[in-house]
Amino acid sequence: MSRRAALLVAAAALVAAGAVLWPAPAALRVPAGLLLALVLPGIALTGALFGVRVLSTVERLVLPPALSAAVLVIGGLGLYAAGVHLGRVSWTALTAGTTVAAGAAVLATRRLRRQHADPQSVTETAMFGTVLVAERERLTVRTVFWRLVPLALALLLVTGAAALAIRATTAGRQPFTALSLAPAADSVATQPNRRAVVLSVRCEENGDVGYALRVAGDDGYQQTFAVTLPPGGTWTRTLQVPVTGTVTADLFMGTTAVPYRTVHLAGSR
Amino acid sequence: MADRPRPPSQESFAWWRPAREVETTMLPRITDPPPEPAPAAAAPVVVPRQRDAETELLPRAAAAPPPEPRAPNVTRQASRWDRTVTMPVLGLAPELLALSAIGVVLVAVAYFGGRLGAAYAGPLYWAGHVLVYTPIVFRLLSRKLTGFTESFLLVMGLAVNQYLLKWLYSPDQLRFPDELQHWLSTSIVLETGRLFQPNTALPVAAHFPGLEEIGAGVASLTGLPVTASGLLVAGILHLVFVGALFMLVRSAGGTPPLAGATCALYATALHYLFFDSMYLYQTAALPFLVLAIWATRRWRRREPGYLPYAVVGLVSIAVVTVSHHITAFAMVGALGLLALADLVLPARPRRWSTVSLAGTAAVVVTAWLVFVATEVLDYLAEPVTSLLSGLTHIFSAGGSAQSLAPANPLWELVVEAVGLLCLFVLLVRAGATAIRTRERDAWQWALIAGSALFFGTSTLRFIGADGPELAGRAATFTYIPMSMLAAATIVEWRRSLRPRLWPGPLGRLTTDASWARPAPLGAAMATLLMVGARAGGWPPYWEQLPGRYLVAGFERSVDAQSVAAAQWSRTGLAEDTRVAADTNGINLLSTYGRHDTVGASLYEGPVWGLRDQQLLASAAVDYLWVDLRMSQQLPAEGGYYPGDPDTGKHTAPLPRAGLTKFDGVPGVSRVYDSGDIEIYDMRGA
Repeated sequence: MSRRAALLVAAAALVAAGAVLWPAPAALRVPAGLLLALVLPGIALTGALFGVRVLSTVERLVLPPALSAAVLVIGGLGLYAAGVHLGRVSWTALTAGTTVAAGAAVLATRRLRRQHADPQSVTETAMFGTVLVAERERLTVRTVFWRLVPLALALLLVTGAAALAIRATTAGRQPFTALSLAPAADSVATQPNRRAVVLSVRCEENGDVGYALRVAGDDGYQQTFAVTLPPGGTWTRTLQVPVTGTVTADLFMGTTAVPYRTVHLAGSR
Repeated sequence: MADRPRPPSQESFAWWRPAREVETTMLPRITDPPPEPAPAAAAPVVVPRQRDAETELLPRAAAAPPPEPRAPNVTRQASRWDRTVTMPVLGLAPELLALSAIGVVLVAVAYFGGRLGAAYAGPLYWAGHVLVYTPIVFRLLSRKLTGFTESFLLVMGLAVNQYLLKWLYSPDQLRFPDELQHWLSTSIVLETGRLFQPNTALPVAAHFPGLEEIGAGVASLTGLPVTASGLLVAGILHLVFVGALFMLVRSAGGTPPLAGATCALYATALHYLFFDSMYLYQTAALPFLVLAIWATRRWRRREPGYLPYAVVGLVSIAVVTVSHHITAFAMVGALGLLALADLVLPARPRRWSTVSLAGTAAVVVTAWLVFVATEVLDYLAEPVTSLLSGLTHIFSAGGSAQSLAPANPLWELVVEAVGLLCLFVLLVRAGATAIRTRERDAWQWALIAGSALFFGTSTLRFIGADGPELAGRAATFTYIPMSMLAAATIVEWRRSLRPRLWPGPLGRLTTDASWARPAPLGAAMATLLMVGARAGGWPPYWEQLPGRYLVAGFERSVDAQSVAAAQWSRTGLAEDTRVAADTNGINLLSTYGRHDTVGASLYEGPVWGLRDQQLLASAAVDYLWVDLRMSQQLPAEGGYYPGDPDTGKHTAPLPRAGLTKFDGVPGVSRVYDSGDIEIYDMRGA
């Protein structure tokens, strides 16, 4: 890794760390985070480790993400062992710190190292018997353009397939409405001989739905509610119901007289 | 384009000669690419006053007649397009990847059709898989393959497209039980900021936090949800694994076509497409297993500069050890096998790198199991016991307990068997050649031994109820040497078939025929293996396509209604309670709900009775999950819940009365109702 490349990688890590730590739009933070997590530490470590070794193209492509992942795994264990809370700040410090430290190592040790091979010779080659063939060809820009058109088409096709798959997740989906009635976890009864319960309706139907809710219990207890919910909407209410006997909640959809959903909660006997 | 590479030796497996012969570092220095004839497209244009040396080198351009006078802006436009640049030789990779992408689209349409229950979905699914895979493997085995760039581009493009096939199945959420368990582990790391936190859904995973660290790191740094981070991480690690495999073959002396063919053949492993690219701890460990082996190949103790490879080897060992137990065992086994081969067949000068790393791996893994992940042996004891009892049963009763899961259709079993037979032929041929030529290369013998192990573990599928799953899991590791050996044998096939062995029509139809070349023959065999792997691997045939809800159907059971119920249970039900449920309920309640779960045998009887009361007390059940669809369908997997005594024997769905009887039990509350799913509070029963 050259001195300039080491500086560039370290600077990129600091910029990415800034984008991750300061409020940045997702369009900026996601690529910055991915660079920090899976690219930059590995590039810097590859440079620091193999600075004097000649690596093939495939090794230069595979080692950076692998070593970056290793930084998260082994560095994460180290942070945990040191009692550091694993969160955004610590992950950023770990990845950016590793990148900068590895870049500094490249700069510090560059002069001490002896080159084993001229980087110019690092062209990925194929063996054809004893004949060495360089795997580069000279083409006009026009030819290059047409050579790359199929790759662009491939990208377009898989993007279309992805869009279709995401759209298909809702195909054949069964609509439903969920009704629940459970003792309230963190509230106490505000009236004598009453207990607090949480009544909830979740609508996952295909469109806006009007519901009627009837809650009935001992001692002539009864309450009704009219609720209209959009798809994905939730309605929740905490009620004070009788301690004794069973409380039943019926949910009616539209104008039907038969309950669409029913839940009941036993009381003390 | 040049011809396909010729191995330096006429012996079989000559391409596995030590890396020294083909390492780029040992090659003569290349200063300039050799001059090549100018493309025809470049011929007509010579731009005045453009001092472009590359343009001037073009012989046709130099000989071309003076250009017609043109307007200045037109000249500038033409010069830009006709300027020459150098770029890697792509061969047919762009075109083939576009063709492969059409296959991805076909599979996406098949998935869409599957959700709608369309009849075209099945044929389209298989057509798509073949189109994604076969053209690429054909080219990788072709003599016209241009070299490294095309080979690597095809391999990585294939890996991307095949990962897309997995992702397109469920692009919006993780559905496989193990994926959800690791989703929970990652969520816990994000919430607590600590590792080694208990995970009730998969307790053993708590001491193998490698994947969770990567997932939590990516989620924290990008701000993406765990599901999106998990899908990204799994995809990238899968690609790293494929790249590392390519790298390993190259480091072992394999040519780019051989490396490409190996990766393409490995894509026919039983669990390659789904299980090995899911968000599971094995996915995190696999690339580092290959990297550890690569490091041993690159580590030359007698050369200066071996330290980086030692560091990568040690880092890889550490990551595998803290990421996945089975991969850690496989790593010790693989490095041990290579070390043994090195000791038995010593190289000159003797290499100690493999022995050193194998010893280190054994010590590190043992230390982790003894001091940290102490429960692993108990966790693995159950399948091993099942295997041993299956073996005992075979020898004592002349047969084995069969898997209780429904069997695949007959045609899929036949394809699988023929594929295995092809591999066996290749192994026998490789072994015979090695014996005949008195092979002394340790790597080659290690490959043959590893491939033999593949067939050894393949027989596990016939032993005991867990046999098929164990065989599939083992194949993830043993298929690595098998794919290397198969690729080497196929690539060598043509030379070894002895052309003109038989005279006349017999020779023309067999050994001299065009179909007997590596590309058509190998591609046909690889396609057969791929179809067999998709049929016999994951997902099972009854959920190869996404679609309507299936009872006990793993991914096909995870629908919006079930997920909503499980998510509600996390806040709606009391903490530190136990919920009894069916298979799907256990999967979702233990992850989204974070509850302690148990298989319920409370659904059978139509009337609540003393037996139910006793079961409730003995299993310490607080809540009960009831999916009324169990009264409409037979279980896809064979049983309705873990421990179902009638697994594989159900002939009719459960009676509805058995699922609704809880409403009449005094003290029992129905706290949740979403139509198909009801949750009961059984604490008052």
